[in-house]
Order: sequence, then C-alpha cells, then structure tokens
Amino acid sequence: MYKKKKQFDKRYLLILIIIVIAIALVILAIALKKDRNLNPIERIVKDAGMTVLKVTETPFKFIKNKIDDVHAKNNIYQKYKKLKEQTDKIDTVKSENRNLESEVKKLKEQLKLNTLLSDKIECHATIVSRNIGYWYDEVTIDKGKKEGIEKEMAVVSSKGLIGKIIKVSNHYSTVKLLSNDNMDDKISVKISVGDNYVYGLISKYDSKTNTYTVEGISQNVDIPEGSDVVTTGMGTTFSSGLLIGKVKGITTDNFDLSKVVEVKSTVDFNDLDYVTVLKRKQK
Amino acid sequence: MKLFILITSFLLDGIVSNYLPLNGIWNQLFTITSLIIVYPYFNGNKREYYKYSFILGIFYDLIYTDTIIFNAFMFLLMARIIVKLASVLSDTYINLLIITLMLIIVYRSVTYILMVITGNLIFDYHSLFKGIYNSILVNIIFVITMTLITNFISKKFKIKKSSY
Repeated sequence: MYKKKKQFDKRYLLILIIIVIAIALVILAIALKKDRNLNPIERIVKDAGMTVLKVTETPFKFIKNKIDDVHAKNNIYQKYKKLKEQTDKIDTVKSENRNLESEVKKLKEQLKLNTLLSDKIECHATIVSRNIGYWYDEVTIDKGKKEGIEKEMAVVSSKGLIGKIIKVSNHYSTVKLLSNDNMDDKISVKISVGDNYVYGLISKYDSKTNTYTVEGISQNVDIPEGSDVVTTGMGTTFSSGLLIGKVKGITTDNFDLSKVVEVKSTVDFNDLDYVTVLKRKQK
Repeated sequence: MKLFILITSFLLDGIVSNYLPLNGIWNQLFTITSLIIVYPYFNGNKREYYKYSFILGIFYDLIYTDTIIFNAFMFLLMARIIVKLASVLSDTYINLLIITLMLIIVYRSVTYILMVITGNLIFDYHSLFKGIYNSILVNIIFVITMTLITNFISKKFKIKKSSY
C-alpha cells in the first residue's frame, strides 16, 4: 500500500517537472524573442541607461576623433587630387541626376504611381553600443520612436546596407546586422549584368571573409566579377537599390542547376560609427 | 567599492564595444567577469552577492540585450559558480584565470544552447567555439587589470576584503 502511494507521488512529481520545464521554455522563448515590442518600463530604462553610456563615452569619442583626424591628415595631397578628379565629374552627374529625377516624376504622373520601390526618407544616427550580447549581432543607435524610427526600417552606412531595425525605445533603437552567420531572413537582391539585372536571394553570411552567398540564379547567365549587388525592393523592409556588395566569385549548386554567387560586402562591419535609417515612403 | 567595480565594468562593456572589432578575438564580457572581482568585497555575505548579481543581470537585460530576466538568471547562475569555485580554490592569480575561463565557457555555452533551443540560432559548434575563444583574451586582461587596480585602491583606503 505504502509502495503504491510512493509510486503515485513520483508520477505526479514527474508531471510537475515536465510542466515546469515546459513553462520555463515558453518564458525563455518569449524573453529571447527577437522581434518583440519593448514595454514602457523597458523603454524608459533603456533610454536612461543608453544616455548615461553616451555621456560617459564622450571623452573616449573625443580622443578617437582626434586620432582619426591625425590619420586623415596623412597623404592629404593624394586625397586632395583624388577628390579634385571626382569634383570635376560632379556637375555632369548632378545634371544627369536632375534629368533622371524629372523623368521619373513625369513617368510616375503618367502611370499614376504614388510610390516607387526606391522611394525613401532618411534619418541619420550614431551607434552607441555594438553587439554586447554576441549571439544577437545587434547594434544600438541613438534615434528612436520620438525621431520617427519604426521596426523593420532599413539601416545603411555610407558604404551600403547593414541591417534593419528590430526594437525601438523612445530615443534609441536596436539594429539587427546582416553580419550574422545564422541569417534567417532571406533578402531579395539583384545583380547588374550590363543593362539588365539577375535576381537571387541572400542565404548566408560568412564573417571570416565578410561575404554573402546569393542563391537561386539561373545557370545560363554570365555574371562578371565586380558587378554591383543591390536590393530589389521586393518585400516590406528594404527599398530598391541599396548596395549590398560586389560579386567576388561564382560557383554552381550541388545539382549543377543554378549558380551560387559569392558577394563581398562593401561594408566593414568592424568600423561602424554613423548610420542612416531609411523609411520607405508610404502612399 | 562593490558599486564602483560593477558600474565601471558595466559602462566599460558598452564603451569598449564601440572600439573593438565585431567578429574579432576581442569580445568583452566585462559585466559578467566583474562578478569574480567583486566577490571578495562581499566578505562572505552570499545573499547580498546574489542580490547584486541578479539586479546587475536585470540591467544588462534591459540596457544591452533587450531580453527579459534572461541575463538576470544567467548572472545568478554565474554568481553561484563563482561562489562554488571560490570555496575550493585559493586566492591566486592562476585560480582567478581558471574561474574567468570557466565562467566564459559556461556563460557562452548556456546562452548559445538556450538560443538554439528557443529557435533563435541554428546549432553550429564552430560558432560556439568561436564565441568562447573570442572572449578569453580580452576578459582575462580585464580581470587581471581590474584586480590589480582594485587591490591597490582597497589597500590604500583600507577597504575590507576577504580572500576566496
């Protein structure tokens, strides 16, 4: 009789343990969810903490800027010559740009289009902290809800696309970087081949070589190395024409059915200071 | 002294992240490793030590990782490991390194496994090893430097500190 009761209790205990583990896993999943919204308390504490961090960082930033200035002054004559060449071309590019803008405007009116895939509004921001959680591949920027930042907005540096906004507090936001080996969002990209584009999907990122892998490209297209890879604008997050990188190498998949393109990122993820958040224009 | 160590390490974690390469061998875990340095200043008051660790974890969650109480419990676990190791290891620099190493391995492994279980990461043991060895060097340098600084300050101002 006593033995039976003990067995019965053990079964209850086992069920209880299973329930506790299940509840713990559910809580854990919620706690670690990447795209959850921050609650008001979290937002206030994050804002306060990041402001303290930003203030504490000021002297370090000042020293870093001074060192950067010294480095920038080296080879100043070569840099001047290079810039002079670029400024000579700038008037031609400007007039071409104006021409294209007016053409786009006219075409939009003719087609009764309110927005284009490439239409976007810009907001500049500074990075406050970078990837402290290590596995998360995130950075925090000093612009938030009050500055019009929303989840899923694209973030670019001067050299190309770096990621998207995943969490927003009142004055700070968290950016999920593209530089993670565990890429779960496939990004639609196009590769310029002459006057045409070849479409594919980014499936992987390799942090060692700073390259992306683009898959799903038809076998019968010749892609030259060094071609620009940009976003297509298909999907809700990234507008069209955001530079991702340049073609580095081309192979074929295991079944020899489609091409796999290695794309060298134009962004140095180790050297991110200032970024721009892009908001897609709504109708 | 306790607060000085914890706050300095916490802020340094954020500041240093902006100056070290993202995927290099310099991944700082200063807030977590500061739990090793701060333990002797609790003079055996484990309850208070756990309380401080838990609160520090909550701030780490809220400010740095945007998670809910995940790091609070992780910090509590780390504090427990430090207490256990400190009770069997003597107060030498070699043992300090052993504790730091153990802490990095446990923290990185447990967080990685939990992230995999909850579907946030795809398991790849290379990533796990990379995460561990990328964190060793910078944190060992930090623990040794911080211990030397705090030892100097505590001797100068006669702040009571127990050995492990």
